[in-house]
Amino acid sequence: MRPLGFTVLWLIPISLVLEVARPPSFVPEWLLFWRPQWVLLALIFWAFHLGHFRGALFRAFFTGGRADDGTLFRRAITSVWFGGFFVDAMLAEPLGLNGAIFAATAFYLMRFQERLVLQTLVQRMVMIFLIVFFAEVFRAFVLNLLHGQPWVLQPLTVALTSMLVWPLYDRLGSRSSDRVRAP
Amino acid sequence: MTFDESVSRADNVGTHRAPTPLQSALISIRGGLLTSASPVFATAQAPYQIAEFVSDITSDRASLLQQRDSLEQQLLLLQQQQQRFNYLQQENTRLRQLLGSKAQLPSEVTIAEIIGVSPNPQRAELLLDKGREDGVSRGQAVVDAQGVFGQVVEVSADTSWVLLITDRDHAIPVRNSRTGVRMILGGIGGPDALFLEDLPASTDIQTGDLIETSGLGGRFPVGYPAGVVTSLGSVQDTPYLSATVKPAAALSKVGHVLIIANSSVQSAGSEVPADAGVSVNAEKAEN
Repeated sequence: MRPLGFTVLWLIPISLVLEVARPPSFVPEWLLFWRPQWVLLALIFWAFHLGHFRGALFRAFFTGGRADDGTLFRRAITSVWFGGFFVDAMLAEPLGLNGAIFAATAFYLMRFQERLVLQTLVQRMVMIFLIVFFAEVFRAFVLNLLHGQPWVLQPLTVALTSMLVWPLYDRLGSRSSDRVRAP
Repeated sequence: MTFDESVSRADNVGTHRAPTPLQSALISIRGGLLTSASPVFATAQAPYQIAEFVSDITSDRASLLQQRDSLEQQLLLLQQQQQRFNYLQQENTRLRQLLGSKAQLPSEVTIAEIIGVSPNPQRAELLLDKGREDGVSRGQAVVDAQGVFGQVVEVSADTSWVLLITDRDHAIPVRNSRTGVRMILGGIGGPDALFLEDLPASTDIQTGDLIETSGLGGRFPVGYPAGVVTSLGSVQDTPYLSATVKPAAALSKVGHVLIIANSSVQSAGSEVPADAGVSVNAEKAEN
């Protein structure tokens, strides 16, 4: 078994690559509406396991070596917000859009982490569906406001495929040596 | 597209405002972040490059010879066309000198490869493998072998995002090659359709007419094919016609495109009034 930090170290770059990967020419266009939100799923995985990482690098960066006085919470939210800027630039989306989505998602997951740990896989999948759905609705709202992008069923389809992919992430977490356990 | 939308789009025509210091700073930040994302794009492109490499080294001699013969024939055909083009260009230059016009066709281009697409299927944007270090800058026109492709909207050191002409935020000034009537050609978000906006009912336009860039605004060079009119209809309760245009460029295919240098385009548009230009993804440009 490998530590969670190691899993996150390769999961985030792979999610970024999957997000920008050009689909092969034989893939029909309608299938692109069913593309999972790889980066958001990786962020959810990271935020869900936050506080269970054992690595010295993680502790030095996110807690500053101090006891849990809220430093981890603040630094994590700030980090994902700035990480969102990187994704915005990478995907040519309005600056701050992904930052807001990531920060809100991380806040929710960290705030209710102790409760979420008790959930079954099915309950977590439903939670993933709702998180991705609301994130995509917000994204669609902003893009509609700025670019006149019409409302379509994309938030629903993306949330559905993201929910179906989640068991893979859940398995990754459960196979790690410092996995999340119910208190 | 509603009339209000097209009017607001038309309002953007010719608004080449200089960015404020804040906008310049944000553009720089975006450029820097996009540059730092280059390894991600390179990794995402790697499977295609490996497949291409494997295809190259496994091609047999017979198919390579066949390909060479085909390219030689194509070259002969293009050389014949080039001779005719040279003659026409000289004649055109002479006539323009007689008229006192300074317009020149653009000649400086950069060849770029498409290496990515926007993950949002509702946005018609592509990523190219050329950036600031290759002389690419925001607002440059992009064409392919068949016609107008789009324009550069974001640039990093070694990559750039291109907004396709089919995107909802895109509109270009064009003219009917048969009649010379000027129009605005806008994207509607679909992969294979463009829209001619607010045509008066008396406009002389037919199905099959070739629509080409007018060069107004100085962003797109004059005379590049933008598309062919495929259908005409009247807009309900308005004195306007609507026309659907099939893009000339092969927008859904991947491969290489040409980025046209700004300086050469500006000279091409120098004879036209400055208040008639091109609408650009305003939000993105100012973001």
